[in-house]
Amino acid sequence: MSHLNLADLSIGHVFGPIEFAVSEQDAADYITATGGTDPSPTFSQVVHPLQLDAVAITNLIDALGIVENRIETIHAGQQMTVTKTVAPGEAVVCTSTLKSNNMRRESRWATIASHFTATDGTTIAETTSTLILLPQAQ
Amino acid sequence: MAIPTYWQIGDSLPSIKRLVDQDRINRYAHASGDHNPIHLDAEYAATTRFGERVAHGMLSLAFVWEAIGKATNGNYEGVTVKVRFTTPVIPGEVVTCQGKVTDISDTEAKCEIQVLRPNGEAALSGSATIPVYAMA
Repeated sequence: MSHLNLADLSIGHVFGPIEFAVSEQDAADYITATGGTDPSPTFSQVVHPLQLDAVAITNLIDALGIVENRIETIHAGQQMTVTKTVAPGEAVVCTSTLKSNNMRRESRWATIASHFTATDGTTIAETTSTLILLPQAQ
Repeated sequence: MAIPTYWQIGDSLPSIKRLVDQDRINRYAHASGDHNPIHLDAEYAATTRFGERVAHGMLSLAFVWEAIGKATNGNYEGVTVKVRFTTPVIPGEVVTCQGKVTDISDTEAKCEIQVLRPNGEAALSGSATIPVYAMA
């Protein structure tokens, strides 16, 4: 699989859109993995919002070949605003946009904003991720 | 509903204390799809600047959302969380997520949030804004 090189990407580059749905089993696995007790009515009704964010970040990691190319990366910051919760099985469309991409102290800093919607365009959530690719990755 | 309207500045969000061992990290990798070897492969992690495996930052962030979920009975709509990941959590550490209301208005409560490692260092710190509605 070919990967994108972050150094080659311009501000405004769009990742996706990708469409996905979190199954009831995946929603349950996420709650179990984080060790939480389910605070929602039941996780059969509401997907943990951060699980959507995790899908977006994993998609970015895949697109940039961070795992396959062993690019040492620091996740520096994360922001999320939830507008609407989703149920397991509900389709979610995620589009991510490169908002900043520059070198600082020999590391590459990138900010990527992701917009999650329902298939009818209704906003579900907005996130912003800040990643630092360390020098050996350049 | 979100935070009960009787909350006051200085009140705390529910605290979460959680062991982050390698088994939890492995299960989180499976659930999130993030199989970065810095979290999973001891040999590879030894070659990185951390020198050992570290937990996903998003795992610590999940504890923040869990605390907010406990405060809001699972109503996340309108919630904003913004954090910086400051130091990595090492497998075997017990971390504590805590938050405190710093400002409150008719519409929203603002909270400082942290996930602390056993040595007192913050694994992450930031803020949460939570809508205030009438109690359900």
